[in-house]
Amino acid sequence: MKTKKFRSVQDTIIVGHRNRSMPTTRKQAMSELASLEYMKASLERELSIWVANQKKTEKRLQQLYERATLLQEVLDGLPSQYQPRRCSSSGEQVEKNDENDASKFQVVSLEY
Amino acid sequence: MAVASKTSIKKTLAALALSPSPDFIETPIIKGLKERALAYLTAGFPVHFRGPAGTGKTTLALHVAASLKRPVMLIAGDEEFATSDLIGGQYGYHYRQVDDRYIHTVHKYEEDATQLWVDNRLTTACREGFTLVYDEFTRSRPEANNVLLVVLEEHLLVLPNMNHKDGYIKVHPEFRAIFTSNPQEYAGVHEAQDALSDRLVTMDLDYYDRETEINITAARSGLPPEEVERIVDVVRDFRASGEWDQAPTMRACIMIARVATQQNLRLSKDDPRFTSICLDVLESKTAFTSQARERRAQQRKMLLSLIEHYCN
Repeated sequence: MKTKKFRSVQDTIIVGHRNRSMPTTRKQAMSELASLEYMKASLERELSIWVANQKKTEKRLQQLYERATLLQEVLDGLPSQYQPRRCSSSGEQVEKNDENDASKFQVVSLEY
Repeated sequence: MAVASKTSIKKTLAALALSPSPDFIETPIIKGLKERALAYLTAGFPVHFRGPAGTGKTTLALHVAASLKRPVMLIAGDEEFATSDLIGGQYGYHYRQVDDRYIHTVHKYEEDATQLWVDNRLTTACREGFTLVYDEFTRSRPEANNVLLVVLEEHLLVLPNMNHKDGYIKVHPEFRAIFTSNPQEYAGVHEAQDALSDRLVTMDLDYYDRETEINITAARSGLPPEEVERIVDVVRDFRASGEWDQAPTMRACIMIARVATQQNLRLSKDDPRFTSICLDVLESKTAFTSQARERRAQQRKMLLSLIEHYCN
């Protein structure tokens, strides 16, 4: 049997409201209306958070696209021999040296 | 699982950062040579400075290399050079031991050792785009320089190691090569391959003009140019006479001038110590044999007359 999963307390309350019979007294109606007002405020807050998150995610995605485009342009400009060469003849994984040229090479000053 | 690995050798190559010394001077002639050489190098052609000893080939090569503003790899040609001295080779081993006891009833033990490839200067220069200065390259046997043929023409470095996955390295676009050599009649010099010479733009250097020699000697010794010119004139006249086995060069001028400065000698024929220093430095340019005593006496007489003429 397939069961529907409720994501939050609000979902439970909404289903509860939907299945509930119509109030017969003014007091019941007022009580339910107050509950719905509370729910409405809560859902509006949730919606605004979702919208803000969506905007934030879109912004991050845009930044990612821009960075990826920039890197692709740099990569296109570089010749293929820039790719680091493995220095082991066995095909064994070798530690990648991410250090810059200055640390890879001992620089010796020479005056001529 | 225990894994132990050990590398038996670790080499870090050194690159040179060149700068002119305080007493280096760039005369118009040197500047002209430098600009021509830079024009060839910028166009992608390697430059070869060829000339007799003492004409400043190496200094000029370093000066041009410094102008390219890239790290420099300096190689000095040698009779014992092999290809591996240029490109590198398999030096040392990488050991790896694996002791696997993940399942207590199984004991698996692996051990292997793989050779390590270590780049040498040419490979590093090609890969990183450094400037290669190959000093006196004709002192290496021609076959040692074969690898340069493809590097200079096809811009590809071919590594001879078959197991190597990256057996081909595309030469970095900023890689430049500067060569120097002595003429073929010099002792210990091999003839360069025609194929290699054909790839180089050869610039023949001769002894500098008088002004340049005076300026360089003055800068290197600290003496004023008007005093240095006496020494330079003696050496240049001696060189022009041809009465030597090994041509007296600007190094002789610098030797005499520097010793004279340090010893506070007067650059005059009347100072016997100065005369002795001139004779020591210049007479050594002639081979001394028992049969050549008379020639040597004549040479001394000529040198003394030159000193008397210029240093009065």
